[in-house]
Amino acid sequence: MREISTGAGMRVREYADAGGMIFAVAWSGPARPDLRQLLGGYYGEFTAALLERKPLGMHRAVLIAGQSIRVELAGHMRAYTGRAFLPARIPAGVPIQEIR
Amino acid sequence: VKPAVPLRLPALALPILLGACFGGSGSTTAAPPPPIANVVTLTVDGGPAAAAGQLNHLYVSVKVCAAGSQGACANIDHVLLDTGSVGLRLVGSVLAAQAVTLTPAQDPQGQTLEECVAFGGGQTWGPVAFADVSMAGERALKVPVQILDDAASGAPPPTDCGTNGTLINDVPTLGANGILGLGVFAQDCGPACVAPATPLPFYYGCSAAGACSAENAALTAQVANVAAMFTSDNNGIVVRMPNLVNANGDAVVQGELVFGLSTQSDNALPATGLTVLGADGNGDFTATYNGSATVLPALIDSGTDHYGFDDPSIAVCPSGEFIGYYCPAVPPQNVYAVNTGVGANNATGMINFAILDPNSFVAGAAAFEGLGGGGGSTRFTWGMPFFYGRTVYFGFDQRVADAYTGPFYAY
Repeated sequence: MREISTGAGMRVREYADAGGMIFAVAWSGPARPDLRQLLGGYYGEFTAALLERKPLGMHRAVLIAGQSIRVELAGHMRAYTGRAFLPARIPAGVPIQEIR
Repeated sequence: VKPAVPLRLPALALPILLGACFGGSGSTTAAPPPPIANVVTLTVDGGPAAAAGQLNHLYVSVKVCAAGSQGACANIDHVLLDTGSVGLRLVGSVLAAQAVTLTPAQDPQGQTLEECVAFGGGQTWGPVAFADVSMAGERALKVPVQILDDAASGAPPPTDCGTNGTLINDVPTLGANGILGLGVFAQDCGPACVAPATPLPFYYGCSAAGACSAENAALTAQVANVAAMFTSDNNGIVVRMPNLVNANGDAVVQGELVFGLSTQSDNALPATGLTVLGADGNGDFTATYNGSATVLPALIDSGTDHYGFDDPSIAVCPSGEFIGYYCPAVPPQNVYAVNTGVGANNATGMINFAILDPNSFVAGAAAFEGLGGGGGSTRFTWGMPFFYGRTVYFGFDQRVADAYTGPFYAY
């Protein structure tokens, strides 16, 4: 696990398997990080699944299951949190609750 | 000198005057000022015509005028009352339809000041502008608000804001004509946006050519809590909602939003039976769910349409209108959570609630009691269903109400 923090209270954690493949990211802080950057090639899959929700509006806590990625957006103004992971790539023995 | 009679009269009259009005001074001759009207109606219904079919959306009407103008005003209905955020945000085309142009705000470099704010799955984008805002008899002048640029008439959003269709700037995607955020703080972003070496992706300065870059914003420049800027009754709000007639769905429910806490006879904090939950710098108290030892950050949020919490034992609706919400196999699923305040207001109390199958909700209804969701969340959110049948008090940061100093939530 690698943690990136900034002075503004933003924290991003990247979780990699033994081969260095990142299988999960989690974030928290006073703004939502750039998900396009964090999710990389999976961003399109995420937004396509997100837009099936109508209306997008104010649901505030959002759980998105794409073909290969699962994304949870939570929190509120001043305390945004969330995580994204690839269920098929999580190494055996890593509980999902540990990704936070 | 015969002072006995002139002195005795005011001494006798004073308690009567104090009983009849608020903030009575020493004057015995002036009539007491009439109390300021501090109540507006709240409505849960299907939403504005352009976004019909909303669910558990709590709406209010707001009057806005261009700052300093008495004439250029708009009455905007179906603005979502959101106790989980701060700031008034109005859809630009709704203002334009009433021919109102608010005064744009500039950053210290003379660029337009704009904002990208995340709500749920989407983000709002648009400039900060100044408005005079009125609700009932309350008024706040030159309030920084956000205009949601649904007409794309200003600077385009930066590449990290609302890409791939995730902007929530227009009425259909927002489900409202605007958002009135009356959470427990005075500004939206707060101290985190004032001075970091790398500005957060929140406030932006935009050139005349429409090039925007993230920048810091002083507290006084940030989009503000309208109710905290009212000249009176500005220490908090009260949200009162009735019980639903049909737990499986009412078409219209009306309650009231009262400004101020213990400033008038209609907003007094009850002397007994009140649970006061202090909040931290994020606006959160804590909750534990169904006996779990895990302590979760929690808040009371009218902008969330459901009880939000993680319970892997409750099935999630796999498809259809309620995809992602809880669909308990054997409803009602009776559960509970224990709330505990943070800091000096550290009360604790248990709340029982029930999750129903949303597919049992009455078609066309707008208010539902048993909606749950948020699987995977590491937080607890008392969303709109919590409000039905309750009076909930919100104490603003650093403001005092009776023996309590905000930020706090109470019920």
